Amino acid sequence: MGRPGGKIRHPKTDRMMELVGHLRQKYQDPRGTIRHRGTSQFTDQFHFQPNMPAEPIQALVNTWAFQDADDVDTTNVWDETNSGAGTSLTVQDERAGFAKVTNAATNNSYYFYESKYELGLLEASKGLWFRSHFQVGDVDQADMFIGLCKQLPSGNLFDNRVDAIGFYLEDGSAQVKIEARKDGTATQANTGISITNGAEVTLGIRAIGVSSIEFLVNESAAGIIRGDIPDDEEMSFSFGVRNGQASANTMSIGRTSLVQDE
Amino acid sequence: MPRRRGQGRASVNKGLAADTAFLQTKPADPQGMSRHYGLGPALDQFEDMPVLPGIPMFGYVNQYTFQNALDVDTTNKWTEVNDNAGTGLTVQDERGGLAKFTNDTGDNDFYYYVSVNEVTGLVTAKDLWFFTKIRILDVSEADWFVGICAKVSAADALFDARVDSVGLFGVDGSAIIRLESNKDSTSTPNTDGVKSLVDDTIINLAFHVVGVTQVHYFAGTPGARYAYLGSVATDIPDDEEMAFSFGCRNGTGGANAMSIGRTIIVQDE
Repeated sequence: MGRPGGKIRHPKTDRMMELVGHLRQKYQDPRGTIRHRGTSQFTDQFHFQPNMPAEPIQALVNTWAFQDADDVDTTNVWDETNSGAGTSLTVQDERAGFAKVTNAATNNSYYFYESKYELGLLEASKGLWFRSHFQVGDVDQADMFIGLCKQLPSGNLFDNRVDAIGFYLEDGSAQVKIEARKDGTATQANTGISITNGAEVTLGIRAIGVSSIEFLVNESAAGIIRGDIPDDEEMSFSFGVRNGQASANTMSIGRTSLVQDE
Repeated sequence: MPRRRGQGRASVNKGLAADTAFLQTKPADPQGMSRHYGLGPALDQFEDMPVLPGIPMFGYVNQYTFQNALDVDTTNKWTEVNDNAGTGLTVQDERGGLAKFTNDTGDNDFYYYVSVNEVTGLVTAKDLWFFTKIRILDVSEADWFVGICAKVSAADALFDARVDSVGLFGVDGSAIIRLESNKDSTSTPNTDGVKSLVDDTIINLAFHVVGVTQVHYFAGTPGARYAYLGSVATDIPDDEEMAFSFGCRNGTGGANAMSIGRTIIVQDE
């Protein structure tokens, strides 16, 4: 029940938001981000801190941070699957915390990760919001997936997804593609958005019940899928990358949030 | 001046909140919850997302999530106490993440869990808010407790021998949610029975402690409004640190089970 797409708030409303609500937006922020507008930067510790949307108490919230070795624990937190031995998921010294995986140097070597537990489920009349950050070393020499996926009994995350919603790359192209997949049948689309080697990409998903899924790439609308939405499967947060050539590709993953209506 | 219980916001205020602060509330939402009212679904990833009350930065916040095996670690996070061996606390494949334990099959078999550290305390003029969600397999054949409690570790102590605590509990033979504040082993239970548990069904439970003078209790079906259960104003533990604690004891010769979900405790600094 939002405003008609693209309608911009009136400047007077923004001013009222500042004065009454102690809230303001910055033009470069992702749409929907609102910051605390305090008394001043000298007297208010929280001045300009982003504070909405926040992690709500009254919702189901799962967050994956990558800031210490427990966060990449492949006994308790992640199921790791690989072909060829490179360097598995390791937290980096990097702003905000990213964990990086480096494949072996042969063509089609890969690593992929599935959260140990399937915590995401699309349900009628309930919203689901997903937000993640990633980097791929060589974007047009990669098969890549990131999103929610039913845990795989066998095979790999690139060829054998059964129930999933998410983003993917295909070897030979730097353009991000999106999909919803139910019982092995997928509705896919090319967003036409190209990403850059080694550059951070922000991804967003907003699912409305089981009828529509909106995708965002770097805060831009990237497409809507209404077919083959998995409506009866619990899914894990999953991501991974496979080499497109005989050279070691890399993928880094950053803080990822999953919010679901109760 | 506070609104009377159940009194809604005037529609003009709703409109003002929506237009001014990017907030809206849907009719079925729990009281106090606001959603982001953005630029429209095609432009704003956060459209309709619940945002308030959120997890504040100003305030002491302790959050217990159940999404991986580290969250149920009985060395570093939880003291586990049990009578006979069922299945200890294990994270489930389930929307949002819940952890479940299953008692052994004997009457009075139990498991209970106490967070390793006591991170809550009630202080004059400072409030505490507690939110959890539980599910009990057979609600009328269970002794159960969830809340904050000065650490106990003896057999049955979380059910029979709480010394200082604030929480919600049930007793064998009844599905009614009971409320309690307990200081130095003297308790003021409230058994109004406004609401009962349902077998194997998730329920949200919450309480708000106002300083050291009042505790107000709430319960609600997920996604729906909370019901006000009642209040307690005596025997409030005002000088003890307490640990997040929960557990369930069989009321009959059959294995009962309890699930626990994301739990949040916020305390004024």
